[in-house]
Amino acid sequence: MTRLSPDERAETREFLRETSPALLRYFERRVDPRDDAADLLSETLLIAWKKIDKTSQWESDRRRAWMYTIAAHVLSNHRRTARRRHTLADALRSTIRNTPQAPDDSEMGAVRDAVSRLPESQRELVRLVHWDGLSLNEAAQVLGLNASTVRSRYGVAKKSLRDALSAESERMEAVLDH
Amino acid sequence: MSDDEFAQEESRFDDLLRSLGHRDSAEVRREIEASREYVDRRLEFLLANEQSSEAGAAHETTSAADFLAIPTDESPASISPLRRTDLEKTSDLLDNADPTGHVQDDRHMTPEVRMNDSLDALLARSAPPTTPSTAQLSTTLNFLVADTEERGGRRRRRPARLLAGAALAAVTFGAGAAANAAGLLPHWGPSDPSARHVQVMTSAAGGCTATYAVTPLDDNSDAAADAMIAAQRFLATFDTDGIDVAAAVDDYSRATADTSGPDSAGPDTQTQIQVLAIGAELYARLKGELEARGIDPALVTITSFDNCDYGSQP
Repeated sequence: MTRLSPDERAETREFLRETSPALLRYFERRVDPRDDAADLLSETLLIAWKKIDKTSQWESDRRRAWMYTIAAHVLSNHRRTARRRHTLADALRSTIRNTPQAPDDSEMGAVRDAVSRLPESQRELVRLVHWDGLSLNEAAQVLGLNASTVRSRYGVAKKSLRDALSAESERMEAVLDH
Repeated sequence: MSDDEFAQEESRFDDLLRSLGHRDSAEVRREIEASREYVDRRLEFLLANEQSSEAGAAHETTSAADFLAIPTDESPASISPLRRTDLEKTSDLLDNADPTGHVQDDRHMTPEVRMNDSLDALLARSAPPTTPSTAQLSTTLNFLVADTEERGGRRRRRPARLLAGAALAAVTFGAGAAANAAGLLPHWGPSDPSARHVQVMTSAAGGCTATYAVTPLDDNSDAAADAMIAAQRFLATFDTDGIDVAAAVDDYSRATADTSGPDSAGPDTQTQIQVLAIGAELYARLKGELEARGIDPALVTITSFDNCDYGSQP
């Protein structure tokens, strides 16, 4: 880690502030209990801060994908090891617990199920694109794949989802008919 | 596919589109008739491409153009002008579109893109719910970012850990030079109806500003809510000029004298000590106030944030 200039520190601070809400949502959608997201975000931000100097020449999209890459590693580690709690993350944890979630769309259960039944390599890609708003190129960077592979994989995933949802729609119709 | 099967599938798809409520199903159905064969071929191609990729084929050459390209058994000359136009438009859309599916120009949508759009909307809506963005969440995240800066750049042991005594353990001291009060203050203060933080300003610490906010700990109980209200009221009316800074520094120094272990990076700067001492004194008084009211002070914590320059001081 190199020492950041005051301008770089301010720029980094702003970048992390802008990125942190989306990263918090990323973790919230993937961990249980949901408020573990607080510690994971804290850890992600710290790693990013320590390595941010290497991204100084990067475009914003690449930088954003880099943040998600760090988050993915932190998440992976979290699933293997006991969490490390941090005092300030406790305040965020409390905020998450005490703030009612946005209402869930119960009709989306079938869609979520269809996504969860995709092969892992497609599932996380769909989540990154549709839940976290990453572009295919950004998702490719996060997943460590080349862009063409991701595009191909994404097309197959969409086809599978379309088929699955059509089948589900038929099944529901059959139930209603009886 | 027989005519009956075709009609059945079309009807099913029509129902699906109508259930999504995003498209004129009759219009989409007309367009499907013209291009469904094309769509099927493209999907078959994708599947074949995916299988070859997984088998270790040289898939690096699969570009967006390949994604929609003509299968090898179909020469470009055999493609009708209408389908060729569809190919070009779709290729452009895939190359330039927002992958979340919010394609802007509806006029250029081919049926398969419209199908994608509906599916994309469904997928976006399927994201599990998360904590809504609120002023409190924003403030907490700002704290976290500022603390990250402090943790990421510090060489010394975190000051808050020097306050490891039982009475002070709940005090969270943060950002040091990282603080940028201008970036945080808009989210704070009694004027913010959603805030659960109260701002206390002091100029005692060498002319810089330390801001102290009360935040709740892990508890969603009525008791915790009462503690927060009481703590907010206390801070809102607390006169920081009433703190004897010199005495607070002495108390703080004594309290922390025995906690500097071998891993301590050395003494804090005078400014830092003042900020910490004021915070500790503030928490001690808050604790006394809450205990006098029969409220458990462990239900809240105080976090400080400052814009003091610690770099050049002894």
